[in-house]
Amino acid sequence: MMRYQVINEAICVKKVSVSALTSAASLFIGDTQTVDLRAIYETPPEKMILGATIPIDTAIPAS
Amino acid sequence: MYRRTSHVRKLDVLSVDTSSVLQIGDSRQIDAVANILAVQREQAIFYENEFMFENYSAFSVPLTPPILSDPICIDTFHDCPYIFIRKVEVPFLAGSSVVHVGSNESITLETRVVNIRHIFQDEQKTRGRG
Repeated sequence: MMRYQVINEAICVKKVSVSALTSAASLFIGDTQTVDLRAIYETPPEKMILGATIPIDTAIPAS
Repeated sequence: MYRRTSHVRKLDVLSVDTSSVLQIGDSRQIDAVANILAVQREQAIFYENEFMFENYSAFSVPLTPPILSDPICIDTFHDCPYIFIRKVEVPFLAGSSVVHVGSNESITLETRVVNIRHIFQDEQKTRGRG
């Protein structure tokens, strides 16, 4: 059994500034017990198609 | 479990995405999931059932957290029952992210992003694969 003891003193912060939070990120001001963050980021090379051809007749122009 | 109270004087947030959470106050559990399929086409023509989530394995592979081998006994003591922060600036929140002012018990965030780019290559220069 692992014992993990935390003694929190006073905490006073003047400024917190984060430019952006994305893909399963979290900014906590307070206590929490379990944090479970999961992310998949995929840019597969074969998905970058040079010279892609689109059949014109069945396409719906983006409104 | 004795919790601290958070004092935030100023909180600046510009935009919160559909799957993100801006929580002010205590909460017990937060679950946020975002499945993002980003398609960029040089000629913006799309047709109906073209990009479906099912055809991409990234959205179906299970993401299970590792299980604890032996239990952990966590005990926390707060000498000072407050958290003071004067100014918090988080302009953008996207892709199931959370800004939480207050205490919480369990939070589970999950994001899956697949990027696709279709670019027309000009004839004479590169012989593109494709």
